[in-house]
Amino acid sequence: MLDRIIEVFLLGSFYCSISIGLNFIFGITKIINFAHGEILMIGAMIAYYLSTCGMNPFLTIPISMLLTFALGSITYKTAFEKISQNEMSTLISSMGLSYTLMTIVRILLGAGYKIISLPLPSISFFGYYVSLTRLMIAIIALATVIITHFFLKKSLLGLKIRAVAQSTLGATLVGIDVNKIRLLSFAIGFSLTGIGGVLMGLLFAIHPYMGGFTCTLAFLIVIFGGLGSFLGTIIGSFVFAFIQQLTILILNPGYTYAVAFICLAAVLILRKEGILGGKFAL
Amino acid sequence: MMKLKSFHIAIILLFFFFLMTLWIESIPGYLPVLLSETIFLTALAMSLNIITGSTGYLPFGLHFLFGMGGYVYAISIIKFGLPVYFALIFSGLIGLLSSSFFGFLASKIKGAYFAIATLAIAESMRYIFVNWDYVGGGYGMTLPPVFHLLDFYILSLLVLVLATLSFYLIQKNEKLRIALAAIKENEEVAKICGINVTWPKFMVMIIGGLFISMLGGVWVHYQTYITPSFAFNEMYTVIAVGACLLGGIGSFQGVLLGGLIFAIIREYSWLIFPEIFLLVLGLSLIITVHFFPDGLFHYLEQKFGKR
Amino acid sequence: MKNILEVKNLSAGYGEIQVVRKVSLNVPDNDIVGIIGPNGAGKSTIAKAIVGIVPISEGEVIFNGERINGLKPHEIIKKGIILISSEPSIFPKMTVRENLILGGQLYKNKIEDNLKNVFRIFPILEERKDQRAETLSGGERQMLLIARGLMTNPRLIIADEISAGLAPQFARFTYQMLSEIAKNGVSVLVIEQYVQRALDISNTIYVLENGSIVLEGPSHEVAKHPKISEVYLGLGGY
Repeated sequence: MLDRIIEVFLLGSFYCSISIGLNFIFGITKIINFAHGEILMIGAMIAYYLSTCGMNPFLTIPISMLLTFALGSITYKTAFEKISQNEMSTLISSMGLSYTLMTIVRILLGAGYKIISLPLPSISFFGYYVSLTRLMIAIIALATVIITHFFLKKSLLGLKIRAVAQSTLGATLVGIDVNKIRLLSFAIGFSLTGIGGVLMGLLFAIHPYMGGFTCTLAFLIVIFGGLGSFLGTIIGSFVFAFIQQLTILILNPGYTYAVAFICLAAVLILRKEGILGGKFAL
Repeated sequence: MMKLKSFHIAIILLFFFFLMTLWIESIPGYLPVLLSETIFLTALAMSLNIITGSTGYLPFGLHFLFGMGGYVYAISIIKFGLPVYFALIFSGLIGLLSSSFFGFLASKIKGAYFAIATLAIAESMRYIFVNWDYVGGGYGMTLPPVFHLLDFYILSLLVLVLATLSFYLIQKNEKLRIALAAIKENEEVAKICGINVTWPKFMVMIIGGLFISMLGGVWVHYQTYITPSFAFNEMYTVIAVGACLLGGIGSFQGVLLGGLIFAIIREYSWLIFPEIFLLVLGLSLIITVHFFPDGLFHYLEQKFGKR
Repeated sequence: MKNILEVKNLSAGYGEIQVVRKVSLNVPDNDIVGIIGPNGAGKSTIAKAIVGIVPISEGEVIFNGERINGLKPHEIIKKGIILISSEPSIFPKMTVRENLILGGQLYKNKIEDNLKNVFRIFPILEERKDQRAETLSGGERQMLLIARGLMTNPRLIIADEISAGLAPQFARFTYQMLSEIAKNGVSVLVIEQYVQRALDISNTIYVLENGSIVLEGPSHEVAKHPKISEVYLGLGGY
């Protein structure tokens, strides 16, 4: 029983790291980013290539953050800034971005599966063996969540970002450069996703098309917990991990994602804002 | 909003395409394939147009309908030995059923949420089918190789004609047209004005879905095989959206232009570098949304048309 | 006497619909000027155009000798103009204190001083400083908006229907506050639907109808004008 709980903890934490960026961007800029999976993939690729140069994959995180931040700034300026008022347009544009990034990476880096090998020992925890890698991933994921939370609550920039999220008019009237904050938020969201990408690269085989599936997964989690709600994303991540473990236990491992996706559709139908949606914890 | 005049143009073009069936097999080279794919993509875009052009709802999970149609077609042919046209009818029927589910969704949730919900459904279907042995699980099924390009051409054309006709009839019906225009413009206000929004949305959804599923069957006939990841591939949605958007939602010529452009890109990118197609697809979506929000055809019409 | 704000032949609006057409007005330094007119006349649009939120299609806006039309809102606000809008613009999930800090975020060094000043004027806000803004009553929210506006020590306050939705004694109190604040060297442009409120506080009045100025002059003269008595005094009073 305990091993299942540990599993939910480890998986849930990991899920936080891959969905926090998506939620951040939506909560502040109202942009629904379908290219989210590709950013994760790029983060994973960065981790891979740097690790082949001898760097410890965990140490690639700051670099991934920097590069994805830059990527976020560029993509916001080119693909989103001018159409940011129209929800459907940003949706379609982000879909286009998804395919563009996917193919560029495919052309430049090839379609083969790349694996980061990090032979770390397993540590014993109440009689169960837990891979140190996964434990580190969970810790980093949770640390990211906590740091982001404090950044938003305590820093002046965080305050400004929350202001833009809560009232664009209000933010304009107090002299905040709303567009600059949106750009920054977008880039920070990419950066957070860059962290998740590295972590993802440690768990899965990396290839240019891995984005599609993880994107849907992240969307499920974020919408489940409520688009825009920070706390909702965290809850959503753990609930998801829980549902998956339950499905493995009761049904058949092959159905975990099917069940999960159906749950999403159900949540959307029953309460379209998700569990904590509509309420901004930002 | 389709001007009634453009229907006349549509009829002329469709008649021309119909005549082409007599010569299609004797034309050498790539042209027949290109033409067939154009018709196919145009039919797909036109089916989407019925839904999106009328109501503004964009079902991102379109490939759910496509895949369902494809699978029903394959099952009908392989497991029940039905002839082609019967199998296609069944594809259409499953389309009606599946899209009525979408229609139901549309009455509950709107805009982006609707788009994402349909996407989630499509994705879950893929996983369900992978685990279903009856349809061959992950390996899918193979159809007997009775392939004629002519079949593909005729079937695609058939669906295109039906789809265009449906769109025409929808637009012709005054009450329906106004209701749909109101929904597209501002649904909340439409509701307040007492317009029944549920029924028109539902109707266009199932009509569009009917054709999308049939096209799924047509595609499987052309490809002679089916697997879950092949059938429920979101690329079909992206192509349909791309063709529809780029060409111009609401006008037959626009949709045809979009279908043509994408068919050309698809065919010629195979020669250069297969992946180029996806790249161009992606870029075209971004460019369309920024520079040609009403579609390329409308843009060209403004620039070079009536002076 | 120098004008802190000069608006010359301003036309502004959304796309094809120019709500405001060729409007000219001046706000002398250290003075209070009012704009009155019926709903939909374009009063709010003028306010928003001055601050840069609504696009200007022709004309000029000169603040303190500088042309500001065409600048971005945050740049204009930095120059010393504040718009207190009647539209919801508080940050609901943030505390009163956080809302005020954001008000003063352009001048980080002065935040603590400005806070003390603002709490002195509106003691009730100090009482509620750790409460979330969405829990405040309508009147308290208005106070918060005014207080937030004051956090930047503006030279010009544009008050757009700040008494909207307030009970009469609250409205009176709000405008009393405003005239107190104006005594300290701040200029005010008051926009009001309720004629009497504007007449009481302003020295000069402009009357706006259908996007154009139809009457202007010192308040006591405009108040006696037959147009005002026959058309507006029904709306007047508190």
